[in-house]
Amino acid sequence: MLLDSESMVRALTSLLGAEAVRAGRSVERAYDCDAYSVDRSAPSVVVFPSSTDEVALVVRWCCAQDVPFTARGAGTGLSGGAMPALGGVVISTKRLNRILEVDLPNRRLLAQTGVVNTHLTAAVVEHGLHFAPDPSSQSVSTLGGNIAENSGGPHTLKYGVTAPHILGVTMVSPDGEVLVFGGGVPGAPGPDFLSLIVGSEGLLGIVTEAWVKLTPLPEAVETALIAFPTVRACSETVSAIIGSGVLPAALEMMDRKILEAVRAAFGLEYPEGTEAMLLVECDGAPAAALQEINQVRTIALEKGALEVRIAQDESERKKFWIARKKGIGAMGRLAPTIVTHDGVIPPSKLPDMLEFVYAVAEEAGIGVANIFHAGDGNLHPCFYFDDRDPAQIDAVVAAGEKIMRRCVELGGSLTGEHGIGIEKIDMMHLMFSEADLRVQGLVKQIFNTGTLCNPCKVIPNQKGCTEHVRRWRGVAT
Amino acid sequence: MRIPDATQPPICISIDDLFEVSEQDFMVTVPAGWSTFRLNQELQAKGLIVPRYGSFRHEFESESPLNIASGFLFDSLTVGESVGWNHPHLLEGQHGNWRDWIFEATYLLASGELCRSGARISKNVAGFDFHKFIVGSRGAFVLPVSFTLRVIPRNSIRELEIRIPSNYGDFVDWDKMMIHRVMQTDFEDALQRLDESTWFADPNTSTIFYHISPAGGPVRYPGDWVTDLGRPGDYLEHTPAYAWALRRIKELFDPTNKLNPGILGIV
Repeated sequence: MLLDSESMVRALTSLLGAEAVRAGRSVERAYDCDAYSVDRSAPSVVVFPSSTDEVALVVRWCCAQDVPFTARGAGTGLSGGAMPALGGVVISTKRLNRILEVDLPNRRLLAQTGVVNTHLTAAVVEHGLHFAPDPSSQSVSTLGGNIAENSGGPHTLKYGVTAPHILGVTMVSPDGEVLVFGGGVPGAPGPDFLSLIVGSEGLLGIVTEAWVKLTPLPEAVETALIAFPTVRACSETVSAIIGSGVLPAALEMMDRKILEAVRAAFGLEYPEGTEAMLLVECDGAPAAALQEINQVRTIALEKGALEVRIAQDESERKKFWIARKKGIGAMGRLAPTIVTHDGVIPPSKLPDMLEFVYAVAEEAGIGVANIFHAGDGNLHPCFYFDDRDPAQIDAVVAAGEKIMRRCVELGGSLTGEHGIGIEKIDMMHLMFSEADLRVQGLVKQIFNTGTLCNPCKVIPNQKGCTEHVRRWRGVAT
Repeated sequence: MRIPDATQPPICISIDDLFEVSEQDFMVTVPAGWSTFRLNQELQAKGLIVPRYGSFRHEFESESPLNIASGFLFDSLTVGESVGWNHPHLLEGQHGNWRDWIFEATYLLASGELCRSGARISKNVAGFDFHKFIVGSRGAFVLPVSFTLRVIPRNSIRELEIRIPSNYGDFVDWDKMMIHRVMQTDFEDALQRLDESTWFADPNTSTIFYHISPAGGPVRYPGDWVTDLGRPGDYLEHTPAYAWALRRIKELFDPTNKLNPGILGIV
């Protein structure tokens, strides 16, 4: 039986000191979910270690006491990966917030994993370098969260997701051992455990430090905002751009619902009759970036674009990006709750898929807006609703499943960057056979043979989890 | 799915049926047994390529020693072998290597089950990326059946910036080829030390392809790695955590040690 909260606080305080241990009603409420709020489960205690050794101490204590534990960064995850599914201890990385070494000549940086994504770039931008992964949450999300989810972002299309930017990690294993993988020059010919650890959603251990790759800032950037009279014309333009061989740094799409919210919140202007917009960014050597954006303009006009605006300076470029970066936030005007789904299809299938998304939402009687990474076919249908109404929650969950099912039927994936977490665990069978899932289970067992480290995530039907599913759902107050 | 045993009627699958190109989405699914040369021949008609240097060499001056070397090294390998060895190559600085290109893999487990991980799209985080982990695993854990790979337009490949010594060819001995990657800050020093042993070097990835002398092993640098070419991997070094994890994964995926026993130094 799980220790009571008071006993846990006493024991953990003796390990870390009182300043690093929190419990009580407000803590339970604040840490019972991440940005995926449909399912909730409260922890008994939250701890704030400030070193790898302290994380290892906590993990070993949890193992000795048979207490579940779940790591958490900024809590911006969108699939419930940081929800403490079986209660127990949340291990926050908030105090693992130091940049430990900057190695400019070799273009790499060593940081603790509680460091905020944008702080990594801030540390080196004056030297013409940056940390390329740029999830929309990057102003608050942490390196550790980005590693756990293998986060993407608008510039993933050209620069890749988080995995290729991680050169090495220090990880506390689920039984409290400190393991080091990589950290030297990349591309070693042998098997690379970073391939498994990055994107493992906290199931293989807790990454406490990481060497990250620093990427040179592009010499020139050209950004265009393109308005279309129909969603289909917009999505067909995406397919045409990708099919032409142009590789923009970013190729993002927003539909009318998003644009209305952004106009109301930030004063974004667009032509009358606009149903969808593309934000396209090309970068590289000045002549190449200019040539690519002109190619994009030609394709868009051929597909019936109403307007192509190319940013004339950095301030206009930033204004364009506000529409994309703040779009989901602006949706707060539409309803109390937003659930952002995350599915992927081959980009050539975008036009048909978007029509399917609108039809599903209409049938379910819930609102939907689309703002997503069109270039790599990474959809983010955003359902807006009121989570105080259990019927609406059920409708949103059912609509989400329909959309995911169609993504998989079209040869795509359940998730491109948000992860499986708790949200999509029951959908894994749509994408993988029983044998495929057994392989996933074997991979988990390389490091995690127990049931304590971030339990009940990613792999369906884990021992001790299925009976809890109903308990998590629909308890928003 | 299980591979049938001898008592069952045979099931024949045309492995060529696995080949599928999506020009619009820039990906290809290819049987693991195809040669990289055949793969790129098929892709050439569509203006596409898997950007491995050895198969692209024909685009450059065909008689250059570098091209001959690369053709020898890479063209005859199957896709499965090439993924299994994961040799560095000369377009890696521009376009990456197998780990960057594999979207999905199907493979046979030691138990005979056919399994898959990944998806036929460029962006996917559903489940562990076991299909990327098996890159460089030399057949130690599973037997690859097919791969879905990123392809790129042929015209997006830029000229190489490779250093080739003038006396190249005086000392070619394929059995003694080594590949050494060092930190950028150690690259010039490593080049100087290797001096006449160097065949060619890629400043983009700070990688040196050289000929080891019988007298000594390579001079080592912090954070570097070195490998030989096509032999059992004497120079693949393992940290304690890495060695432990390799053993662990072997126990889980191939408990009776059927798949390429002894490879990767797993004992």
